[in-house]
Amino acid sequence: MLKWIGLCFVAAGTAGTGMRICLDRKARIAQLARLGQMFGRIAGEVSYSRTGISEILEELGEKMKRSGDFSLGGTLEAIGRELRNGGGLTELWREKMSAYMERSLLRREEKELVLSFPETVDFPDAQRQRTAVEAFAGAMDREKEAARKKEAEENRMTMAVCLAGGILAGLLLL
Amino acid sequence: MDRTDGKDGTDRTDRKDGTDRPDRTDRKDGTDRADRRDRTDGMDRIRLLFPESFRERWKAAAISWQDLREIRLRARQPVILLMRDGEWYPDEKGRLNRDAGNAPRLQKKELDAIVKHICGYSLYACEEEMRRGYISAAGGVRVGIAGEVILGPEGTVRNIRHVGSLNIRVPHEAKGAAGQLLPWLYEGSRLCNTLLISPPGCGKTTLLRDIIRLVSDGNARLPGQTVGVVDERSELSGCFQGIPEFDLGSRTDVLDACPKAYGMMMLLRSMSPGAIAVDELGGAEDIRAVLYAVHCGCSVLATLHADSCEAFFRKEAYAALQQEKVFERVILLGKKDGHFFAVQIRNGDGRLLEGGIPC
Repeated sequence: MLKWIGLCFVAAGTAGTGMRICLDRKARIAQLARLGQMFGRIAGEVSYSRTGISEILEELGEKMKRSGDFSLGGTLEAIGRELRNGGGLTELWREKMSAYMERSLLRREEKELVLSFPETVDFPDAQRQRTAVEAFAGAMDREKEAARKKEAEENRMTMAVCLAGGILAGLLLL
Repeated sequence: MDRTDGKDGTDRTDRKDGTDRPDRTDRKDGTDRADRRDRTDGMDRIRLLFPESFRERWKAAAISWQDLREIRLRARQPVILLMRDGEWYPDEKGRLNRDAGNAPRLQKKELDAIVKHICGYSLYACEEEMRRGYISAAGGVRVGIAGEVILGPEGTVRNIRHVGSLNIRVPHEAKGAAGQLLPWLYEGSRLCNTLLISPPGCGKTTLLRDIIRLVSDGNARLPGQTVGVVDERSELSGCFQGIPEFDLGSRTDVLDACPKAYGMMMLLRSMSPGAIAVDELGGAEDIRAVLYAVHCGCSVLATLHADSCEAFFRKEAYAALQQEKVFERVILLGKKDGHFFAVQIRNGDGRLLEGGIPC
């Protein structure tokens, strides 16, 4: 009897690991969505008010914090504030966003894309600047949609493999 | 000759200014907290114009900010600091010298980095200003730019790229500078429509700023009245996020970064100002807006680039203003030995009322 209970625990453990992997996948999609929204809102401000990037980041950060996203909101607010106090965009963005994405589940190329944002903020007119920032939003949205499409299938597969692996391991241990 | 110690004690801000409001600069102790804060603000205004990696080189310039008038940056040329007592050249370590020979030349990429930094890494946000040949930096600092002009389809200036020169004009608050002019600015209990005229660099904007403050806060002649300021280049008020960084008085409303002609109309319709102040009158639209404001019963305080009062009285472009004798006071400003003077004060007919008043 105890052996069967042990097998159930092993199977439950591996299923739990599978669920964790699925949740991480969901969190990555949510983070991509947040970053896409962020770039979209920056692009909107660029074309509508032509406000400087420091002011945009500070205000956007405040709004995001109010809506409960303290991590990204706080990061943007800090970048905006330090920019206003004379810091450099490239250095600040790399430092703060790297820290924000340190524990994130984004892929390396997605992180690199986010970190390359300051390199595109040098267009002399709002129209082209908006297009450049929108390209970031578009890239994030594409990544998000691709991840979302694969999510259900990958989740099913993950759960199946984890559960089967757990049962197999349990049976081997019996 | 080295100039890293900085001067400070002789600034105009130590004077009494004639307002009916207690002012921090009236205090006898020149090193009180408010003065220290002013000094720090002024130094920061200069220091923060430059990217972090260059700041050490501008330390001496920042310390001497009270004497500093302009910073001239040109690609492949030495940096020139135009001080109250002439030109100085910073060396690699930021020490100021009279000798241009030892001064390092500014690299093009350094100049580009400075332009980007001054624009707050948002060149697009400065598009309109760059089209007009300047960038408004934080703290009311106006930066003139020159470089390769990009023309639009109709031959209009679209933008400037490959910036080759910058002229950083350091603004100063000279509280009390207009105190001695006040008696000439009033007729009975009414503020005269006043035009300040001078060539560049003779203190028009600084003086106008102080007149606005005195009119707004009230002075020995009249209690304070509402003043509307249309600050097209953010130079008068030094606005940041809509709030003036310079003291323009307690009854002053500022329309920041707004074209003068539109701004005057907007203020008249919505803010009921007793006086409207604008810097650097220019086109026909500005003239029409001034006439409209005066017809609405509002006093107008304005400045104009010219080298003499005659240039104003004779110029065709200002004929409409002269016909109606809109400006009841025309004040010509000048500079001698680093000090500013009201060289001539004329009435609307062009008659000389007074001259040689220090301000």
